[in-house]
Amino acid sequence: MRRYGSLLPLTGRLIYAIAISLGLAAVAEAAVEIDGTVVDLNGTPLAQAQVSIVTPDSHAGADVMTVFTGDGGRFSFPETISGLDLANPDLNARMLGYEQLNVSAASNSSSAMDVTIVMRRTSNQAAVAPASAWLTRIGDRDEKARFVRNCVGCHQVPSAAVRAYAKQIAAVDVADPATAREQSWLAIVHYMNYLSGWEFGRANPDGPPDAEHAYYVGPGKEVAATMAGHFKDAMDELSGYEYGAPLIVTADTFIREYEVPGTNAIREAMMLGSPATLWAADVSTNRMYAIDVATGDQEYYDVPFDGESGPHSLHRGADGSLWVAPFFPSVIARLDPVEKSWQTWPTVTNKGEVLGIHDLSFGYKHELLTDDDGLIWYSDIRNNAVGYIDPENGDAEIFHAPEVAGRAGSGALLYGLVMTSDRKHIWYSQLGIGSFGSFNIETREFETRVTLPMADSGPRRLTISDEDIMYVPLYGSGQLVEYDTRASKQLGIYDLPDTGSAPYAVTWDPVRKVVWIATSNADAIYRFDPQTKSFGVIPMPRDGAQLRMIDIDPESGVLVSSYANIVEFVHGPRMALIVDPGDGAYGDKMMGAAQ
Amino acid sequence: MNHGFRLAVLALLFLAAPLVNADELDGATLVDTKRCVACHDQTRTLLGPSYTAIAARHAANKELMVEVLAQKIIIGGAGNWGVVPMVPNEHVSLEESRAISRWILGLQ
Repeated sequence: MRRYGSLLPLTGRLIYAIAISLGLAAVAEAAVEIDGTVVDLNGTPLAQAQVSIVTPDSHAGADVMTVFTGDGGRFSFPETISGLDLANPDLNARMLGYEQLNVSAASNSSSAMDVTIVMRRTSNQAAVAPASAWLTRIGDRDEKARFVRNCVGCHQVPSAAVRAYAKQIAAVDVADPATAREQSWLAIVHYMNYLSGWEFGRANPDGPPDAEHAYYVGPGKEVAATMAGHFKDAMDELSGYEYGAPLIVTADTFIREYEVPGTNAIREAMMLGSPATLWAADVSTNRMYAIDVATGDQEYYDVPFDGESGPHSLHRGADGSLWVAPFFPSVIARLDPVEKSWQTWPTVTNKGEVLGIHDLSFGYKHELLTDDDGLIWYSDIRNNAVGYIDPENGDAEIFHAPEVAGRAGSGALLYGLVMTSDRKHIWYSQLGIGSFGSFNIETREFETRVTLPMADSGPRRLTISDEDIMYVPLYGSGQLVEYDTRASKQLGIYDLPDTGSAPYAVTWDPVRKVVWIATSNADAIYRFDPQTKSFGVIPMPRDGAQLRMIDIDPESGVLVSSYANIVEFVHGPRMALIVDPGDGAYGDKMMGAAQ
Repeated sequence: MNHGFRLAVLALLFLAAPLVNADELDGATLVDTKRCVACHDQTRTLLGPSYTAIAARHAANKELMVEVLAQKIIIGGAGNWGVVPMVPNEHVSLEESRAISRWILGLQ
């Protein structure tokens, strides 16, 4: 099993590597329990600081584990760690507004370690603040929404790599820096368009994209103009960022991250079975990875299709099966996780229309639902349609969405989909035109249509509560819509704690009665409480944490998501992760509690 | 991290890494697989200079420039060919960038 890169700075890793090579490291024979304290330079305990450990190769379990400090600055890893280098545990603390000074590890015995981490307050948040923090520079909400929509599908903006490029531009000594800046950002957009063309053109028989004309793919010039207008400095100094809502992490919050080797896109992840297996969809290798949560061992299963399928959207079957919708037109696939056997249906209608299936119909448990006739419904992004497939015989038919007044044109992108509890209606979002609506399964007619105020608001992956309240994440505008599908009434539209956060997906938590929101650009998961209309924040343990889908394991109540950076050579982690909020909401079934 | 320090670190990493047979690395293939072709062509100027233009400029001191270009490929930056900085290519190893550099400088 490959390990994720060390969280320590490179210099620390080098020293560590040299120590190892000289035989100076003392590796514990027994599994080690790690506790400790995080304090500032005055010795004051720091609460809600993140502490992460990159586990040694010999450790059975997650590649990286993260906990948080409680009120007394104390933290404790709920799992012991085997193969630990007692002299140099790969520990790292993160906290907005602080920088880590040292790790002092005192071994009380060969099986326990008490660590002191000292942090210093710093006004420069550049090393810890998420990419979204830099977007406060873009005051025009429409411009910000367009920029997020155009870029964050592949990576965060401005990612660390983008900021490093800003520094290179700022270092160029020229008479006309404004023109040079415009040319440079145009060049970087060209470069990224080319890389993107490679990634998304894999199923294209015409071969790689034309480098000379990659500029003109999509709204490249508009993206470059936004960057030239707002990213004028070296982008290495940032201050004043706040998460925008209270952190909801405690000493019981526990995050486990699992890297999947040799991939470039873990698009989604979901837990199934008992004992739970973490399934991760790799759109770039046409594989489903099965990760044993307890041991970290991995196996993979190729989607049975001759060509590019790109497993993308995951849904839980009521019988414990795993349903996989593809990125490329190919097959809908159902995996029996016990038998490890596949069943597939081609993504083409009886009339020969090629489908671009995005979501399959599911309800408040994020569990696949059929209508009364046993049909599975889906969103069809390619044809801006909804449709069904009959799993008994493969019959498939689509229904094209009507044009939305004032938002006509191509690129409507019918995207997310949920089914109401009566299984007679489906609701969908249209990413490209800032709209959502409903379709009546019995009459086969489109019904309600809602046009959002901003054309680039970017509604994406939907969820629905056990009372048929639908939640719509607005990826571009950084908002959340709360909508009563029974009354066809909008209950509210709320700014997220950070409007540059790019909320990609939401999921209803049927036990906690809250909505969890996965953000692509804020290195955070948000919790929305419908009772109080308030938000809470769980910060992720690393930058570049481009989250996409989010799911709740129905047994344990842990949150499951993935860092979904896509496109080869784009920087950023590719990992599946499990977040135990530590609130005990699912009782003693909570993973980690029994360790 | 400043560039001087980064170079030192890269040098250290290279010394510590297992030796790779440079003959197995084909610069002509690497410029494709590492996507140098997004910005460079063998004979045409795209975003960056053509490979043949680079070779012509450095024809007099190829041996020195193999190492300089190898570093430039990884670190990026502007200065020699206009105001647009080259993107850093940290996904290219030093062995690979040397092979690319040797191939470019060998072009006529």
